[in-house]
Amino acid sequence: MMKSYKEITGRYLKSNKKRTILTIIGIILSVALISSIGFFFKSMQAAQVEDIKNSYGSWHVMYTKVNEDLVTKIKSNPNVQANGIYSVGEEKAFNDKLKVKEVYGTDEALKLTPYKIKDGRFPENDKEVVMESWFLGKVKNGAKLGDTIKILDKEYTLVGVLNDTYSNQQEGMGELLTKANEVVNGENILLVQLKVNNNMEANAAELRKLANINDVLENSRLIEMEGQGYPAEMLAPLAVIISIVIISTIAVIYNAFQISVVERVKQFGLLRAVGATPKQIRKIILKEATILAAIGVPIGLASGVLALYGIHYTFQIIGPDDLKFITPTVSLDVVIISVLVGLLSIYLSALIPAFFAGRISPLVAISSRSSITKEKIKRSKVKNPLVGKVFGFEGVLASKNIKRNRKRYRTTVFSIVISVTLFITFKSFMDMSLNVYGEMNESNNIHFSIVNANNELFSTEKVDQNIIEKVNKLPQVDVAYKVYNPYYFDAAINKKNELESINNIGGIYNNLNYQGTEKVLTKGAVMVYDERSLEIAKDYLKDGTIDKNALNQENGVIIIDKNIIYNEKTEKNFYGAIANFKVGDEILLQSDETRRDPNLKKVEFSKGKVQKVKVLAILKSNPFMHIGIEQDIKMITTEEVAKQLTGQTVEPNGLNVKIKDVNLEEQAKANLEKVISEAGDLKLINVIDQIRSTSSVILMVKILLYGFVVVVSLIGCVNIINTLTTNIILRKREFAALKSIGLTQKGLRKMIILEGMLYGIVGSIYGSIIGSILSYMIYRGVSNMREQSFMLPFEAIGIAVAGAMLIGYLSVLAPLKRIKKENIIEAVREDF
Amino acid sequence: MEILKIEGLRKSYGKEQNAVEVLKGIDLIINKGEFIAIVGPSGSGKSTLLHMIGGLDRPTEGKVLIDGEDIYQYKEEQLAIFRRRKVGFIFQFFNLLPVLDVEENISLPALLDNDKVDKAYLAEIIKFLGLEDRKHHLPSELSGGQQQRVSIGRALLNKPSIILADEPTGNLDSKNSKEVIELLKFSAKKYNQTLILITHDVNIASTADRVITIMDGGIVSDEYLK
Repeated sequence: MMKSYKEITGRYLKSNKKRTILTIIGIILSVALISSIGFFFKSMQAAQVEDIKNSYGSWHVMYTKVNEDLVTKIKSNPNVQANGIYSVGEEKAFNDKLKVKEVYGTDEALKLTPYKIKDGRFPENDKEVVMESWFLGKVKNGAKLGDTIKILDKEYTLVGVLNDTYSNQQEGMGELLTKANEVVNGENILLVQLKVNNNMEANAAELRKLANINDVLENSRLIEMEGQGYPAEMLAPLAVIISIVIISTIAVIYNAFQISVVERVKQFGLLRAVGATPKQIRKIILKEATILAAIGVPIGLASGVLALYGIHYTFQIIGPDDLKFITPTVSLDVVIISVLVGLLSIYLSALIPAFFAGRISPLVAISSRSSITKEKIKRSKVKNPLVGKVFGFEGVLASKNIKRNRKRYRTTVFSIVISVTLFITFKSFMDMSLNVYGEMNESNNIHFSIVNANNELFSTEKVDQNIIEKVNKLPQVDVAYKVYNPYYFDAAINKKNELESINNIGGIYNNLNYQGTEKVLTKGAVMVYDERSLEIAKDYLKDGTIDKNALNQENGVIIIDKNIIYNEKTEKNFYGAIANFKVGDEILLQSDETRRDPNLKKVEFSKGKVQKVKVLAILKSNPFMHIGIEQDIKMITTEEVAKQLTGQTVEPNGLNVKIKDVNLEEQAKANLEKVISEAGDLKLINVIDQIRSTSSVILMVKILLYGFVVVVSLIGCVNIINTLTTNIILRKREFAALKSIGLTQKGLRKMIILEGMLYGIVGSIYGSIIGSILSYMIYRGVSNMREQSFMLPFEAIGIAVAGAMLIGYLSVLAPLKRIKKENIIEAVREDF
Repeated sequence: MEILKIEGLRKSYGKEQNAVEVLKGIDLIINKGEFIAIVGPSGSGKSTLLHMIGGLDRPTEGKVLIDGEDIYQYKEEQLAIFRRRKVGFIFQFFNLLPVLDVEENISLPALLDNDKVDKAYLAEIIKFLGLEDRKHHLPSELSGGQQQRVSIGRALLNKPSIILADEPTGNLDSKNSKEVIELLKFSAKKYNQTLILITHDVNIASTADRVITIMDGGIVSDEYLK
């Protein structure tokens, strides 16, 4: 037995489990999205702060000239968290190979330096010392913390061991860190750590004024990251993303409530008829909101935290040990903000329908007339005969149905628009972000490089064919790609190949009159690919065909349609093609030897040997990594064509080796060493670790961004399902009436499915437009850091349109089943 | 003793040219304890009149005085409380909350008043309605007649002085119809309530104390049978 009318809420939620679960899922996903974005952001920020502190120290302001007056001012400054002076003592010889020097620090100076304690603690008086572990090994092998150590007539107590640094090992410099009460001599440096707050930048500026501009340094990246928490140029894209997420959270939750209220209009009307006041109706709905919030918000938050740690551990598994992408940080700010946004949108979303529910006329309950006759039906003026021809009578009904009630039409379309917009914006943000990190290419699969030992840039030494064969025959080797030097040319392209965006950068194109025709002169680089590399290039094909014989016969080249061009005017990189090439276009090339040897004299174009090459294929990106030719037309060709173009012998000067299994690293290395030892002048470089770290960064960014896109798509789906199912359930009586006059279940099915899909189409059209506009805004934001030409997110639009239609189709299936089961007579009579 | 007085009651829907006048000036006095049947063809305005008496809809013009007070002076909030305490509604389509069981549906008016339900009285009503072995069933598990009895129970719970029934038997077979009318009459007598009932059924109308015929938005006859 109920104690209060408010318990109706719980009854409703329980008896409409599916709807309740859908609403809760909407809340969970929204809160999880907001919180996980916040958590990831904070975690990446924390990782970056850690990284900066590791490499530069945790000081914010550094004074290189210190006097007593300055020290007093610093110590009395309320914005200063910690400070200390450190001073480097004289360099002394430790033995014939190694040198040693003392580093003294007062107060907290040592903690502000980048020195990292591996074991133990920092010294607390001048008798205590810490040093790097490699040096400790030289001083006293097997020394333990607390041992007394004698270095150059001075005795210390060892209290800690520092992380080894590369530079000290290379230099053979042993640093002894010790604490001093007062620094007397030498070069004194005052380190100041500020209190972390939003005014750090201003506070740092204040401190800078205390000394001559040349005697003060600022750890500006740390101040930026700790102070405002993000690099300034990220502000715009971040603001767009966060506002989209917040708006869509509110929209999704609002929709869910709107729906649960609309579904019960009759019940509320009835409660009103038996004497419930509008206030009481509002209370029922607000209680519903409270229950849903109490379930959804904590689970959403927990999911956010779970996602953070889940991804963190995944990253730890796939990432190399020393690479820290995120430091999982569950920041209270983010928790509070996500809970607030969640609650705010839940209550806002509940209040508006609650207000309307309170105003529902009790009359609605009394007659069963409510839903059909009360809604304002719009007579559609435009008749579209095409719909009827294509989809039949049911199609005509469907297209009339979706537009007949303006309010419902708007609500449904709005919810699809939100979903589609969200998806497109996130997807294109993802694509733009991945562009920065570069794409995976075959170079990421290379495990060993064989290069000339003399390390010269344009080495002319060849790798012997005999060696190549031996390497290829090794059982661990999958493939060995031949590596050639690039060849440089001046390139004349036709006017029609010119790109406006590149022209605007300036300095890339030059006008040229060649034999009476207006041409564009720019630079070109020719890369030589062996057969196996050409095979790989086929995976990157955008247009044309790749065929070795055709390349040889037609003097053909393959264009890589992606360049990164530095714009000197804007000081940003431009990402995109250097020219607008089509298959069949011709390029005139004249060798430019000055780029290999700056001492040579530049030959004017047309004064040297000009040859014609033909574009036979276009690639969307680099099949292999090519460095130093980003401002050139990137052309790939065969050994034969290169020979023809340069008039020189073209032979490989290195090999890139891909092994069959990374676990065979040691055996492969041993065998390769053996093979190249026969040649004498070759060197084997193990690139496994390096490749692993770059590929895993790309992978991690991908996982993260795809994760967000998945969550965003889920939110979109829940939203669409919610609206469309309600649309049908509310019209059960109408459908029953249609069936009673002879519409078959099949016809009804067709009509309803068409309705769902029509909503999908209309919603995705608007969504695509808004999504593209928002993508453009993000693009503008991102282009603060780098330039790239804006492309409409066609792929995202395609997926979104197909997805919206599919969800439109799928989400009407379940309610259709429900309708099928129902007795026509019952349904005609009752409408809830 | 006069319980209800209607003065110049008019109601129209729509605006200007599209306006339809459903009630065209009704004056009526009803005494306490009377059983009144309202008859008339479909669309004559019977239901609208009943809604006006019960405070469900606001008139365009005129007054409805119950116990001497004009109920349309009330604000929405007060009007709801008036409905809850003074009036019991019974509808053709029962209109029970599908998520509540029999006992809960009947208790609804008290619960809305944040009142403790008078258990003894509730038991009495349930017994009176013959729903003892059904009290924990949901509406969907009941027959039409049983559902209508539940809605009668709900109308009786707050001991209202007026019971308004809009074709309470319209959806029931003849056996159930008879039972429901008997119940209504019996309870009206027992609790000294005024019963106003709309019906199409001549037999039912003939058992009333007074029959009011409405046609085209006005009263065309008002006869006392007893």
